[in-house]
This record gives sequence, C-alpha cells and structure tokens, in this order.
Amino acid sequence: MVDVITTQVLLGKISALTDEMHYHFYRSGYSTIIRESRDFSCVILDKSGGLIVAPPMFFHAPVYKHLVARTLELYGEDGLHDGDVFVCNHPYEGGLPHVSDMAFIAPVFAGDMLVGFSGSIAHKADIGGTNPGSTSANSTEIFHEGLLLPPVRIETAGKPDADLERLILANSRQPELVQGDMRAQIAATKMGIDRIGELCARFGADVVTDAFTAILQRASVELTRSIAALPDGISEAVGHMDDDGVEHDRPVKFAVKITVTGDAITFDFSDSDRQAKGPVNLRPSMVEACVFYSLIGCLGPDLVFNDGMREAVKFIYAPRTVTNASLPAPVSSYQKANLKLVDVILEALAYFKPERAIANSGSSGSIAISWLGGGREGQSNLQYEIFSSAYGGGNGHDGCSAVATHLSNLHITPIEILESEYPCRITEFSLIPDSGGGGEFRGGLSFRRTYELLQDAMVTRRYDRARIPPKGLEGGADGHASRFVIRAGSPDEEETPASGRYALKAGEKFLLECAGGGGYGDPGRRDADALAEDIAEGRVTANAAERVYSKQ
Amino acid sequence: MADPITVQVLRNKIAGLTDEMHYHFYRSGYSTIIRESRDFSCVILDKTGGLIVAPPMFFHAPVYKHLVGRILELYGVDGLADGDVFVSNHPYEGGLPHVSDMAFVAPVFFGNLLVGFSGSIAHKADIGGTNPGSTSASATEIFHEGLLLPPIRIYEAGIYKDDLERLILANSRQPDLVQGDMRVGSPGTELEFAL
Repeated sequence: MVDVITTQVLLGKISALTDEMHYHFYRSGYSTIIRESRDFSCVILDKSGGLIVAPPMFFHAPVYKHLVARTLELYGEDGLHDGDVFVCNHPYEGGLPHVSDMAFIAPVFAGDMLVGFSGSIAHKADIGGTNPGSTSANSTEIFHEGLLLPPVRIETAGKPDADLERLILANSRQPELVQGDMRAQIAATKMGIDRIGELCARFGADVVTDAFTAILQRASVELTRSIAALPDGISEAVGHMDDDGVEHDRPVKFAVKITVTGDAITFDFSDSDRQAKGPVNLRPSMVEACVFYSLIGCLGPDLVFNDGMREAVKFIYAPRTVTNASLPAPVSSYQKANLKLVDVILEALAYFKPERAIANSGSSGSIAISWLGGGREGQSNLQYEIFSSAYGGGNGHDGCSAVATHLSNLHITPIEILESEYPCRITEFSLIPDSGGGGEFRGGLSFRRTYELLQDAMVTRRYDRARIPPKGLEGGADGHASRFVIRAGSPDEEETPASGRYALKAGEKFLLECAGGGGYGDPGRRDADALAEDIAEGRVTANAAERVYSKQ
Repeated sequence: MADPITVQVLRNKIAGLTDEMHYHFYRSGYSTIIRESRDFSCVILDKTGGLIVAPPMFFHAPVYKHLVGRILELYGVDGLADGDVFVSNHPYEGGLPHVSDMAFVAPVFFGNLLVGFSGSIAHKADIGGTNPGSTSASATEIFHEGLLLPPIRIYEAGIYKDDLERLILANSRQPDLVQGDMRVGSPGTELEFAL
C-alpha cells in the first residue's frame, strides 16, 4: 500500500505531465482549432480507463472510460502490445462527443505489466460528411457527419499503419491540417507513455498503480461525504432548446429528477424528450460530463473530478431519448445540448444548496466558413470558430461577461489571426449593452461580432437561444436572446434562426450576437452603487435602468 | 515464346476461370445487387494491370488498369507480397466509377515471380454518405457519396485486417449485406491462386 505523501507526489506528477502534453500539443497544432481554440484534451488513465486528472476541456473527461472499456472489449488485455496506438472518433462505439473529435489512446507497459493508458482527444478540421468542416446544424443521421472510426489500431507494436492514415486523409477536405494535427496528437500521446514510464522506473510500477487506485478512491470518498451533507429530498427541473435544427417548430426538452437519500444521489433523465431528428442528441458520456461538472460546481470547487467519482453517483436514462441516443441518431451539435442540460441540472441542484444557485448561461455556438474562392493564398479555405457567451448571475455575484461558459472551456479566436489567415474583416467586436439579464445579481454581457466577407462563402452557423433566451432565476430577467443576421446593413438583411447554412457573396456582411446570462433575484433589489457603475461603464443603458431596475 | 495454339488454350482457360469466379460470386452474394442485378465483375490482369478477358459488366473493364497503376505507384512491385489483397472504391485514386463500387485486387505470384493480378469490383448496398444506399442524384461533392477508400491492404501476406473490415462496416447502414458481399468478393478474387 502506497503512503499518502507518495500518492500526493504522484498526483502532482500526473497533473504536471498532462500540462506538458497539453502545452506541446497546443504549440504543435496545425489548425486554428488546436492552436487558437484549444479544442482538445490530454490525459492519463489507469488500466481500466479510469481518468486520474481531469483536463481543462472538462467534458472530455468521462469519455475516456467508455473508449478504453470498448477497446478492452474488442481486443482484450492480452491483445494489447507495448507500442500500440488506437484511434477512434465514434460516438456510439467510443463515447466520443461527435465524429469531429478524434481520440488516440495508447497502453502503457512496465515490463509485461499493463500500467494504464495515455490518451488525447482533439477536434479535426474536416473529416468528410455533408458539410465542409463536418459539423452540422441539420444532419439527420450520423452518416451525414463524416468518417466513422470505431476503435482500431493506427500503430501496432510501434509500427504505424500508413494505409489507415491514408484512408483517414482521403476522407477529409483538409488533409494537410488533419495530418499535421493527427501526428502532433500521437506525439503528445506518446509523451504521456514516456513520462509514466519514467515514473514507474523511479517509484516502481506497483507504487504508481497503487497511487492511481488511491487517487480514484479518495475522490469517491470526498464526493460521497459532500453528498451526505446535503438535505434529503427530490428536486426536478426542465428546460428547452429552441429546436433541433430539423424540426424548427418543436423545442427540445431536457428534464432531470435528482434524488438525495443519505450519501446516495441519483440523476434520472427519463423525462427528457425522445431522441431528436436533428444533431442535438447526447451520449451518456456527455450527460455524465454535465452531471459531474454541475455537482462539483454546486458542492464546492475544492472537489476535483476523476473517474473514482462514478462510484458515488447513479444515472437513470430512458432508451432512445435525447440524453441517451441510439444509432444512427445524429450528434454533431452536442455542445449546445450539453449547455442546456447543465442549466437544467444546476437549477435542480439549487434546491439542495441555494447559496450556489445560478441563472441560465448563454451557451456555446460555432461558425464554419467554407471560402469558395479558395481562401487566402497558402492558407486553409476553412474557417472554424467556436464562440463563448456569458454566465448567468448567481446567488451573491454578477455573471461574467464574454467568456466560455461551464464545461465548454474554449478560447475565442483573435481578430488578428482571422484577418491574416482568412479573407474576412471583422468590423465590430463589442459587448452588447443590456444583454445581461437584469437582477439583484446581473447576468453577464454577451458580445457582437460583424464579419465582412472578401470572397463568396458557405457559412454554417450552429447555436441556440434565439427563441428561448437564457432564463433568469428568483425574479431575475432573462438574458439577451442570440441573433444571427445575414446580409447585414443591406436591403436584403435577414434575421435567421439560431442554426442554419447560408450561401453569402463577397462584400456582404453577417453579424452574430451571443446570448447574455440570465439575472438572479429581483432587479429592484440591486445595489444602487453597482447599478450606477453599470450605467457609467455602459453595461446598462439609462433607459434600461429606468425600465428594468426601478424599485416597484 | 508461346506458340499460338498454347496462347489460345490459355486465353480460353482465363475466360473459363473468370466465368467460374463470376458464377461463384453470383451464387454467394448477400445483397440483391449481387445475386439479382449482378452488378459486379471478376477479372484476371497481367502484372501491369492489363485486362486479359473483358467481363460481362463491360464498363468495369478499363478501371482495373488505373487501379493497379496506382497500387504499383503507392507500393512498388517490391512492396507486394504473396497473400496481399488490396481494397479501393476511390474514383480519383483508383478510377472506380463511384464509391459504391468496391474493388479488390490481389497480386498472383509463381514462386517469387509476379505473374499478374486477380481482381473484382462489386456495388455495395450502402457505404455511408448523405443518402441511404449511398448513391445520390444531387450530391455536389464526393464527400457526400460515402466512405472513400484509397488503395490499401485488407489482407497483408495472408492475414486479414479485421480492424479495417470493422471500420468499413461502421460506415455502412447495411453492415451485414456489405460484410457478406465483401467476404465473397475477396475469396472470389483468390480463386485463381490454384492456377
């Protein structure tokens, strides 16, 4: 049995080496998705796929367990060799969020003993499918979303499978970006193998695996103890997305019932909508990410996720629902579904711990611009951006403005990068006054970006909250609804739904506005100094101050 | 130099054995595309991919030369081993008509000497893409038409690559039909190993 100090030293080591993997991958990425958005994660797992330290991209954390389990099911522990690397992007085989996210995992051996796995997941620029960029707002089958890779070996005992790499690249509209990112990712994954090997040489493989077990157990015990401190009871919440991108007149319902009894907690999603026709379906790995994220946010940020926490939480799903989809349901726009589900779970959890309550946040969206004129000389013709929004106000604090919310921990792509690499001009990038829902604690402000196109382009927009804005809580007002306006400033200007695909011409503009955070508490109770500062800083206009914040 | 009589005998042997390949493939097909429409061809090629006897599906005849040309470019004659089987459905890499048509070609060795290739092309029930059945009346990019397989090995020196089969089937809406027809297509290709 390993002592607590050694366990803590090894936890620090694993944490530092995953930072190292992240840093090297980030610096080696070819696509802006890696080197600007940082849409990837690197991890170390125990030999059953148990995650040891959660990555910054939190929602990848519960995926790896599913992927390793399926890999072990297919190959058996005896079927793994030192030097094997497996690749998978399959939502139904490996629990991946959508097919654009490609995972690599590699077993780590000390002598003949399987110690664990090194792994990484990263979004790929294009992996085929109906749309350039592969992501879709209106796919109706997973077969529309690109090449599907079940877990297969891309290196066998140290020998790369050049055929498989060629196959993958043949299915991409951006083979150079995908090849560069794949090779960087494999290298980062191998860095994890080397570093764990060094730890085994220094501490002994038995000590390292014992420390893994102890780290996982401790997280389970800590979470169970925190749950025991909650009052017993049942709490339910329901929320809706605008639509699924296909059935435009039908909001998509997410529902949770949380039951706390002693130190046991159950999340029941059975009342969520039947599986959607459009790509807003979730696999259980994503629902788990939403639950653990929300639980830690509610119970206390000193809790640190690892896969040991699974022991302390029970999940209930109904089959073929939006929270437990079956093949061939499309999943491409999972992230906005995740973020609606997080709002719903946090609302239900507030019953157990009101001091941690928070209003709805502004979710996450993306655009993919396929430049039909070929893009800028020597650069990719595919511009892919992920957008942040704003947090809702919480019990005791305002919401944060213009920031990635909850588990979508991504970075907005800078204007300088966009204008130097792609044929566009950003003519406006600003906070939107009054976009934060009014409240005793105001919702965060969202932002507006206006794009001028210098070439013809096909623009795919994926977002939510144009029709159903982020909800305020305890008397707080709703946040600003999202907007997407094409041919902005021209006589043909058109306000669109939150998701869609549009052919635009050179010289035209479009603008997007992300959704603002919901307010928390009665706006009439807002602190007078805080309101005065909001007005002075331009966050709230004098007009809105009069209309929303006047004392009743 | 073979005399004209032997040449004619061998020409008829090749015609006879491709008939045999066709017959067995037709009788073993899982999909109606094989066992009713007979949307496939089986052929024997020389060592540069030159077609010896044209199949009943005539329009497949000139495809094989392009496909073998690309395989030799990718792997070189020295990169081929007895027991290799290559798969491709790529219109731009292998000259296939469309991605629904999946080709298998296998080099034929006599001792260490590359004698030629055996090959077959057959339409698959579904290989992914925008539409069920993969074929499309309105696709605007080849990426809408399904999984693209450049020439790659599905058998390597006699060892079947299960991973690759699993990958192909994961991209099909009709994995059972495609698996049945694929497995018929590659042993059909091997028939002439007894030559």
